[in-house]
Amino acid sequence: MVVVIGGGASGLGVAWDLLLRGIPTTVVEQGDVGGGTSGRFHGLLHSGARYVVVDPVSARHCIAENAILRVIAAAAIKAVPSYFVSVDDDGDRYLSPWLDGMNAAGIGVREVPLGQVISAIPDLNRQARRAFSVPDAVLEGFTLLRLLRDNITQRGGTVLTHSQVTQVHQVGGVVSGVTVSSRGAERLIVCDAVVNAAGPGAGQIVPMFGDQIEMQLSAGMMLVFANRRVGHIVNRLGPPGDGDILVPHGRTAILGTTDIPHGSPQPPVLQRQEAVYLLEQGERLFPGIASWRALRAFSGVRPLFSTDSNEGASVRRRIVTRDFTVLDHGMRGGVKGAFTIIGGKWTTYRLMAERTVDAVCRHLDSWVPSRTAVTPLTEASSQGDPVGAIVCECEGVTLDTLHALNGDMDTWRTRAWFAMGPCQGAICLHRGAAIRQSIVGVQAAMQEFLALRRERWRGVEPVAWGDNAREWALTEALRHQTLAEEGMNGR
Amino acid sequence: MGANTDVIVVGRGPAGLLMATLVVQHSGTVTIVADGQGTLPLWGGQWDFRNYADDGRPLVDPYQWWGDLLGGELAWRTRWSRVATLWHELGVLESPDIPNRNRWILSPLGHLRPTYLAPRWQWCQDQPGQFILIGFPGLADFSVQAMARVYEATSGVGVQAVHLPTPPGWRPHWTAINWAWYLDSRAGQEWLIGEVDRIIDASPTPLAFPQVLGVDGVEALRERLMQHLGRVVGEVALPPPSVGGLRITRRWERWLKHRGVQFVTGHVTGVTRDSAKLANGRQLSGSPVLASGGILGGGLYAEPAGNIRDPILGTIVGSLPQDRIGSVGHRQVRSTVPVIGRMVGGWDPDRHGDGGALTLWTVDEAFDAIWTGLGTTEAAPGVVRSQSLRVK
Amino acid sequence: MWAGEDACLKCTLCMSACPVMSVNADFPGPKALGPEWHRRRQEKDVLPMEHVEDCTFCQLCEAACPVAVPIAHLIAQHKQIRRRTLKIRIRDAVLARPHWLARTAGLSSLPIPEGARKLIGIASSVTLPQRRREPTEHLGPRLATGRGAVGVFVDCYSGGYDSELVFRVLALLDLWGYDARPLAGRGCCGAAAYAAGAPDLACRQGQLTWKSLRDDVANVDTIIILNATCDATIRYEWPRYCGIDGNIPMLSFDEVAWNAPEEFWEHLGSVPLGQGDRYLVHTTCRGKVARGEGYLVQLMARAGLSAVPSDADCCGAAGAYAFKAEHQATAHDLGYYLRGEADKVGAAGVVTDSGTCALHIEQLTQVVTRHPAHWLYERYRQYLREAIG
Ligand SMILES: Cc1cc2nc3c(=O)[nH]c(=O)nc-3n(C[C@H](O)[C@H](O)[C@H](O)COP(=O)(O)OP(=O)(O)OC[C@H]3O[C@@H](n4cnc5c(N)ncnc54)[C@H](O)[C@@H]3O)c2cc1C
Ligand SMILES: Cc1cc2nc3c(=O)[nH]c(=O)nc-3n(C[C@H](O)[C@H](O)[C@H](O)COP(=O)(O)OP(=O)(O)OC[C@H]3O[C@@H](n4cnc5c(N)ncnc54)[C@H](O)[C@@H]3O)c2cc1C
Ligand code: SF4
Ligand code: SF4
Repeated sequence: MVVVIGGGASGLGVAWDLLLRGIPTTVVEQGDVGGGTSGRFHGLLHSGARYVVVDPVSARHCIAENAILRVIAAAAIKAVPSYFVSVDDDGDRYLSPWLDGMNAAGIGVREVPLGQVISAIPDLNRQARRAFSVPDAVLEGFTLLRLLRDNITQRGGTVLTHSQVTQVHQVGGVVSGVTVSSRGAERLIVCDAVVNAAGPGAGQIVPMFGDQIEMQLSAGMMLVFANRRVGHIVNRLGPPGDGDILVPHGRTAILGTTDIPHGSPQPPVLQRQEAVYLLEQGERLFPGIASWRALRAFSGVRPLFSTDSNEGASVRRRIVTRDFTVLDHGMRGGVKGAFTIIGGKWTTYRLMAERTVDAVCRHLDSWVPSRTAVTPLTEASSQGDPVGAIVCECEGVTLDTLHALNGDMDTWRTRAWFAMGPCQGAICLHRGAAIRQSIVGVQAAMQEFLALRRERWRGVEPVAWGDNAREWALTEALRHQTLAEEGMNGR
Repeated sequence: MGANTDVIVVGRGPAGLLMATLVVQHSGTVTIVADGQGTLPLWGGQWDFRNYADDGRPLVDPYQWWGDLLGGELAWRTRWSRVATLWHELGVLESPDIPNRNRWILSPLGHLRPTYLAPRWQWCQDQPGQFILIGFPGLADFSVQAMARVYEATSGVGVQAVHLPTPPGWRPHWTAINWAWYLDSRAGQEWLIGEVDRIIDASPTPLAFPQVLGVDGVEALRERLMQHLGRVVGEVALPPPSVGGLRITRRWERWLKHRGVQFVTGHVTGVTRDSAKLANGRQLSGSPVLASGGILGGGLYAEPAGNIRDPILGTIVGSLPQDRIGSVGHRQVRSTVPVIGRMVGGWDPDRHGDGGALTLWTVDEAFDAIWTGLGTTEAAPGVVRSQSLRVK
Repeated sequence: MWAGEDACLKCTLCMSACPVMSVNADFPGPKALGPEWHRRRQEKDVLPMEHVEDCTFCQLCEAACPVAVPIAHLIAQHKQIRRRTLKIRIRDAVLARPHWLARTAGLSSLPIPEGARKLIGIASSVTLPQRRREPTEHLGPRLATGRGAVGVFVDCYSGGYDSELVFRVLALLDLWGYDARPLAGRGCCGAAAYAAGAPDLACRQGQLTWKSLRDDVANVDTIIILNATCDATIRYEWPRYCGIDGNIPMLSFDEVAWNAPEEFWEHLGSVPLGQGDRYLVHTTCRGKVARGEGYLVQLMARAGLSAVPSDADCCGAAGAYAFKAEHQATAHDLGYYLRGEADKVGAAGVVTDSGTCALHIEQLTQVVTRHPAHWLYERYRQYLREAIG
């Protein structure tokens, strides 16, 4: 048995790899699956094009994994045309090293006539100089997490959510088990190895392994626009910078990101200033972007760490490798059978998992090769056309869909996109609360409801300008005047 | 259009309509110019005075809360009487009398909340008591079982919930507004009376419907139901499309049109003391009053950096997130160009439940300001003037 | 992307304003057909929704919307991808070109028997346009001179079926001191095609028409539009949706009439009001949206007529909408409201400034329904008869 700490891309990836090699596994996740960075990323299945100059190793990993994921996780990958567009001298200067890098990494690149790109993307900067097509794609994070989780449980693996590892037990310097606390109750899980896949929280787990690492966390903000105004992935050609990628995602388009040193694994409080800055950066690609309807902002924390502590924070963060590292704490003088997987990208989660489990296998002394690259993740059930009364009008989520999900309102959100559309819950949250009441009772349903309301507000508030501010003013009027949702108190 | 009017009201929300009403009631001429419908059809129609004290607890006696503020009890009673008389004329209120205290209405979540002036169709209570909730198929905003559960948990009184079947011609996409139009038809009314008869017992327990009992024909249907079933029948106001607000809007706007009020479609880009400029280049003459709403109405604009700007007057009136989105606005009602309704800051109708009072008081002030500004010798509004207001 | 396309707040004000929702239980409504459908379609190809064609393109939804979502125009795009049978396609192609029909007005005025109507999908009981033949008489000496050169835009309907209206307008303009003539350029503004879900065709028509008008327009101070729908289309759709930015100097007939010489109004005012001379005034939906309401009532009142505003939102004629069999019920129910009003008012006539609306309203109310110019003309004739004898 191997215990995996963290239910993000890395953790679930590791668990799936273990199971395919016949090793029983339990994932321990402190919140919900995808509650960390894997649910708060930009949604890009990298081709590696972004990294060819600054981080060629990462680039090579990306292009290889890109090809694999399109096959094994087809349901979660949306192929859309993707471009790198040069809009200024920065772009032109970068062009030749970039093309060299693309060549070296073996990433297919093709110049596309500008006219063609501009007519496909009317919002694009008309001063654009050159455009290149690359094999980036859209990675639907929540879908892939669902696929992983479903396949893990089908194979007999366990995913414990709202659970934490509080202690690592050892016998003779070797891992023998962990204490897990779930919603107040503690239990012991006997195991032969522990994998720390806690993402940005990894640094806080490592001391339990009798080791120490220095994380270099950075937070990145993204802006969600209400409509899929652009159906293409557009990168600004140049050294990786802020606000230089637009990714269409479902019925929205997302602009990202920023890169700001951050001290904690929890995402920072979203700042209006930062949103405005991001928008300004976005204008280089899309000059009219300020008039697009921004729906909300969100941010995620990059689980990066520096292997050479001398570099410290002085190094420009985007230069810190996007590559990943597998730490075998036994080899570093800590507990044997304890591993940490850290860094990397969503795109490379599978490779990261493979390398990690390779190390685990060496420790367990039983070598079985990884099969994740050739084993497709199967869909548990194909979703037919939604039927029944519509609860969430923006995203067309029906009552039947919600009943079938059999989870709380936040699960509805991540699985069915409930309350994720232009109204951000103004019109539908109270309907959801009514449905939940019959299942969990008045108190619990109201708590879920108010929690989701607050969660929505946190993302809307920093981009409450223009039409979106009006949406929020409508929401406030509905909450208090029409619904009297906080009842007799708490207003 | 060549017709100049005494007053130009910018905005068609409750504040704009009330301002126009005062002007025509005083024999003035008025043009309402607006680029959208305004928020009245978004609410159930209940007109709030002050629902919550500063600590958030519900208020029973709003007069006591206001005390001497803004003219005190007498002034408030005059203001309210004005609305009540008009609403009575529009058929919205049973009588032109105004209440002394707040009453309780039910929210779609099953919470009781106070309000002051409630239309006759509104389901009201003076204290928690028995009733039967009537569920309509597919109406996601009115989950009777859930409401009954919340009501019981918060008030201690258990209530019944029953469900209607679907009528012929029903479609899954039907919202409150579809139901209401259907129940305006003869077929809909017959169906409803038949079905309600079938599913409820013979007790005199009052019935609480969702606010869908017709648009223009609500009074007739409600009367029929009450006669036929021998008990009180009322409605619970729902989130938009809110039929109660729509009913009032339709009647009120018609009332104004039949009294010669001009409605102009247009986006106002600037005003002077005696004119308003439209985006299409045209100009209207008359004394402008801005009733262009708060952030929701479009009278105030939130810029990305957080400034809240009045795009017509060009002034900054606050900033986010320092100010609350619901309470930001102008501080002066009686300025060169008076501002009324949700444009006025410092009030927080969302938190305090005083949107109606905000509208009443600001309209009153503004009317007074243009009244004296126009050089009349008569002191206060409330007196019907014989000849039309004249601009300089 | 048009401005405002992504702005929808889900406030449902558009649904409250939509007249079709009030009579047609199948109609999904502006929010679902416009911004919501469109947002889905931006993600991937989706089928058009049932009943999208039931929208009359009255645009009252847009007038209500707080954030200027081009709802009706999005719906027109939505209609465009509806699949239709060949029969319906042919019918619609003809009805979307009212200028063709108008040119062959003599022919198309022939009665179409019931069976044939069914075959080509024409509503069974509606009155189809008939050519009007009424003499226009001279209105006596001019009341003013030198007020400038104006060109009257002859819309398809007036050109084809109601040329007398044009003559009466010219007579009035002459009386008021204008140097007036019909514009030589003809064509369709595109309103009918746009309403029927053929925006591309509509814009092509608009462009052609503008081309044929352009030179002529340069020779007049302003052009005068008789039909409220054409007025709204030229003012609003042309620059915003068809890229026709001629900065066209234009006025509606009623705006010019309002500025008629004082003497004209005095003359009209001197005519005693006959018993039951009450008029119901219907401002067309497009007129409400483009300009507002109340100006026609004022005009009629100034002419000494007792005018009552109609409370109907949209009469249901909507270009060629009421002629189509599948819209017969909706068009009827929308317009029928006016019948009750006409009865209540005891209307001697109905005033409205669109030919197709007038036709539809007249059929439903059984009350003579005509353009304001007609009523002004008639009133002035009465003055001449009574004052001069
Ligand atoms: C702004 C931003 C944009 C990005 N965009 C992209 C992109 O477009 N494409 C791409 O490929 N990559 C992208 N990435 C990188 C990618 O998202 C991350 O590398 C990846 O999601 C990391 O996954 P993870 O599983 O390691 O971490 P996480 O997803 O954070 O998972 C860690 C999990 O561990 C849990 N946990 C933490 N501590 C404990 C504990 N003590 N006990 C139990 N559970 C614990 C957390 O709750 C969390 O669920 C982006 C990253 C950021 C920040
Ligand atoms: C969902 C909801 C529920 C409510 N419930 C209650 C309740 O229960 N009880 C209660 O008393 N009150 C309620 N209110 C009322 C609320 O609190 C406010 O008092 C009210 O909405 C303010 O209306 P207003 O007339 O100031 O502005 P609005 O109704 O916002 O009207 C603004 C008008 O100005 C126009 N406009 C704006 N800018 C321009 C421009 N540049 N040119 C031309 N026109 C322009 C707009 O088109 C619109 O017609 C509710 C409001 C909402 C939204
Ligand atoms: S009125 Fe406008 S904002 Fe409101 S729901 Fe309709 S389209 Fe959306
Ligand atoms: S254009 Fe008219 S009929 Fe069509 S959706 Fe809008 S309001 Fe309804």
